[in-house]
Amino acid sequence: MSANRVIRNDMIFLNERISSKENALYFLTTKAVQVKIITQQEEFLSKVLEREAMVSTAVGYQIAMPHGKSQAVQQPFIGFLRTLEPFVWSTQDNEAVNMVFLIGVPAENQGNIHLKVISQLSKKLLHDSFREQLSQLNQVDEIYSLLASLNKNLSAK
Amino acid sequence: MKIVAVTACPTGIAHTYMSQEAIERECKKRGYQVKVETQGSMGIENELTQSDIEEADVVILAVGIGIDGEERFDEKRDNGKVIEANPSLVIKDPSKFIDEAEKL
Repeated sequence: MSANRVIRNDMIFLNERISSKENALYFLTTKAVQVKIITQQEEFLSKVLEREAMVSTAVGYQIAMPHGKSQAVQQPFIGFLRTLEPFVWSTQDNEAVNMVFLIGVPAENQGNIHLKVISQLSKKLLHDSFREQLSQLNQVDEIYSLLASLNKNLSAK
Repeated sequence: MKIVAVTACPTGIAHTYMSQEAIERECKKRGYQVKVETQGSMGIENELTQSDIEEADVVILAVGIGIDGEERFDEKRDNGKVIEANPSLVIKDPSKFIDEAEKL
């Protein structure tokens, strides 16, 4: 499986009018069903919410990283949603977010490449310049290139 | 100063690696030696050796779940050199924990 497919331009959404966790997750999982990277939306959503209930995945910096491991995931993916306005992600911590990365991983292990991409992304989010670009670039293709550059870093290692 | 750490979280997907990066960056900024073992979805990586642990001034366990090999840190714990931290908080404010490490 190619690492490039973990980041996909048909799973990047900018400047959406969404203002709750439930709506954000419903929106992203609906899109994921449409592009056939998940089946059974409900099953995947329940895994994501289960994880969310343990500890909120808001990680600071106005970013949340909800994720789920499920048999409904046909192909590992990272979806990205940036909303027009920040909203409170979880009453657990009252953190406002405007960027949501939804991560889907299949229940069965399919090798580590996608996990490496996800870990690279997680680390990059702590870099100010990377976050600035994420919040400022206004074209899906630009965001795609930014995120896809994670793959290049990987193969260079 | 030398700091070693272990990071882990329930699904081992995001927080494990973010807290690793947060600790590494803050330590490097202050010119400290640092090594962070991750116990995540890719298994154990960058595993701490016995000598890494012995040489460390402080151990930070940024773990949201039980980890493998916790007994490796028993001696450091007896000496009051282990900091237990919530990975989410480490990601948001790593400097707080490194400040704490400096005071031990």
